[in-house]
Amino acid sequence: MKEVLAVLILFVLLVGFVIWNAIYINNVAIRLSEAVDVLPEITDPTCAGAAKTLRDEWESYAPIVGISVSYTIADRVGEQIAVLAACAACGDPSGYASARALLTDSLLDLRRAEQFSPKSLF
Amino acid sequence: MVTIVFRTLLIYLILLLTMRLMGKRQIGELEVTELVTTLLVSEIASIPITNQDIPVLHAVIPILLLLILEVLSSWLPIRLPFLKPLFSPSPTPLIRNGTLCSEAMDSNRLSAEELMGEIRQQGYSDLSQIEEAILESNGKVTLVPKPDFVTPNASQLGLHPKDEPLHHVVFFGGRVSKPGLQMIGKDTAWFRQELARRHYTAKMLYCVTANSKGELTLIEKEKKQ
Repeated sequence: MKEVLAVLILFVLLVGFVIWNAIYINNVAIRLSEAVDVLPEITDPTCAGAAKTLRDEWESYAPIVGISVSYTIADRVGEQIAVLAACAACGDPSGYASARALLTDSLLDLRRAEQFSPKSLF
Repeated sequence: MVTIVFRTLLIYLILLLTMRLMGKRQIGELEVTELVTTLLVSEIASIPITNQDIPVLHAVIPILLLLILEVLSSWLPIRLPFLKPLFSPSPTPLIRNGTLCSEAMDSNRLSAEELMGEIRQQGYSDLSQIEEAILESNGKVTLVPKPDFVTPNASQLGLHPKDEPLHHVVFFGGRVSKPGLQMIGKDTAWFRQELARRHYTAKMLYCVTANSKGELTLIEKEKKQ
């Protein structure tokens, strides 16, 4: 009986952790997506600063995100942010636009990694 | 990770159903749920070892979940007996009152040659020697021979052998085994006294077993040549 109780407690903790993790990853993806949406255009002098802030924000989330999200997805987000920041710093408008679009897509993948849907089940 | 949890549950249920449908023969010595858990755990554990792109949590969470499912699947049939058929097939009589149950043989996809092989492995030479044969839930076959072929025991032969209580290891690897001594109702002081009485020291001994009557079997260390 003790083992059953221990296992039930473990189950509750496990489910609690999984739900917390899903909410956390979702929130990170939403916050970053919103930050990407409001990024200024490349012609704006604050563009490089905003891209750097975005990168710093991602780096603060990355260690916890990396615990549960596959490295492929997490690395892709990091790379896209780095490319975005580099394009903003050197004033490359096509690179900036492309990196922004790819980053939006990568953040969608990040959300999908922690979302439950019948499609993801199969 | 939420998807991984649900996938683990889904695959667990699918494997459980598959193994139940395959029948008892495929199980071997494990119960259905044990086999499913063993199969899944070994596969899941190897994934993050071979693929560094996958976080370790992607194996730890499913393994913990399988542990939880295994414990619950062994406990639930006890509390809710109507669930038992889902987790474990019932034992099936193959031979009843000396008569072969051909329907049971067919439904378990067991041939006469396989049953004869089981009979021979358990020391009997023919079906006619067997009164009852049961295919257990873990896939093993239990045989009950006819009275003419039963090995007689001491009481049937009118013998009264000495009561031989079980021996337990009370000393091994240079250390006294307290659990072993507890099993025979003795303590360390008694053990040391017995050794002294027999003019032995702990260093001279490899292993000692004893029973509740206080009878010791002392195995000395090999003398180096």
